[in-house]
Amino acid sequence: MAAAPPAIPDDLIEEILLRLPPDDPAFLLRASILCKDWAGIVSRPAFRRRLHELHPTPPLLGFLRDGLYERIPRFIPTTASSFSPAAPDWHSWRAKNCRHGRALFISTGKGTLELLVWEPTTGAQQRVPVPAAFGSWNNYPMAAVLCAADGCDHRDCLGGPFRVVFSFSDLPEDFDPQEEEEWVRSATVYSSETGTWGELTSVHSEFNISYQRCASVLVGSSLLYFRGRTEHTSIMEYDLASHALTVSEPPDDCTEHGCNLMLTEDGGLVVDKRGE
Amino acid sequence: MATREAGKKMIMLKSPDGMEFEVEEAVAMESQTIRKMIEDDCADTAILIPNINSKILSRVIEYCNKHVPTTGATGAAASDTVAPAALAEDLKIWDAEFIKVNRATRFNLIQAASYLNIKGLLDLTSQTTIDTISDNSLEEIRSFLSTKNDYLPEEEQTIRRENQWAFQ
Repeated sequence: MAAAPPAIPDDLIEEILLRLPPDDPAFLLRASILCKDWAGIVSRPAFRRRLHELHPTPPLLGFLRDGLYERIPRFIPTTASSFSPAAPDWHSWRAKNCRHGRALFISTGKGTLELLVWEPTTGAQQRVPVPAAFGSWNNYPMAAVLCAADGCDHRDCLGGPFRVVFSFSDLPEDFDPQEEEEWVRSATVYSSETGTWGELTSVHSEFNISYQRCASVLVGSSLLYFRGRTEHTSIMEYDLASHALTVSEPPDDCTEHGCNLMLTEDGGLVVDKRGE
Repeated sequence: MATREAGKKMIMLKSPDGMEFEVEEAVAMESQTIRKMIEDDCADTAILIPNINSKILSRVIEYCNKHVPTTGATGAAASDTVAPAALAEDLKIWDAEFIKVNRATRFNLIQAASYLNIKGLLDLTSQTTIDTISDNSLEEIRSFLSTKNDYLPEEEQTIRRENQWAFQ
């Protein structure tokens, strides 16, 4: 029987397209090119929201690597998908952090440091100057990016406001490695809405802290922690609400191999002592 | 309300083409839409199911009959005697046979599953369509769905150029 198929209403097309395999974004693009109606359906915020509800844990499509070997690609896929975003060139940009659908890079050049916020999904890039307080006498810059929308579930906030937390150390004047010096760690927040950096918060510590290679963890909506390196392991806490900055020692003996900060499923913080 | 066997409430479903189907309430309640009608006490007499003809409605009832959680006379779940995994495997094979229908019937089933809010049937029918979309070329899918390509050639080229990785 060759009956003509009935016209399928948009909401049923949506129902069907929601079941495309989540680990290959190519299917959504191929669906978009079928006809304009379908492109409209998969582009709707409501469609994305339902997709998130259906797949609460988004698939990991791959990761970026900072590397010395050009033969190894910058984006390493972790699925069979051919998805390959045009990541900022690794000669010029080092990946520092990613959160809420955005990745943060710091420039590698000898000139003035610059930050770059990149949305892998949309391809949008936005450059952010480092705070004016950061000068050539400062070192160990560390940065983290996060969504700035209140009460956001980060399912539809791309293109929206974001914040960048930037932290660095002050090299003491007349630095003498034999002497016990007092170091200063500072942090400030950039708002994409105002395009400006906030006031600098500083804290004294007995030793210099390099958080450069460490990942940050966002606990709740207002705290950022960084893990210190093996030597002088410490936890830096920045309260985004009060702008308070504290440096504290991790519990027990994490110093030998360093330790990792991890989020628990319910949003708490644990110190993983298995090291790097 | 009709009663066929002791303890089993029956519900009358009517299709717009005048056919009547007597089904167990538990089977009819596989549809969340009908469940709500029953719970809201709107189901004293026969329930008219608009837009779903008798041919499709009988298939939907067949699906619900198979998928309703079965209970024995003592109220013990049938899965007490049959291993759940074997039961699930049996259902999968049954589903695969059930969905071997022409595309017009499949789309009618998608519409019926959506209107009646039967998640399992909607999953099954949509997923089968998705498998077709995944396995065929764009032209085959367009012809399968009777959809026309309404992009200008240059518009389509732009999308393909900007997302080359998706069309390799």
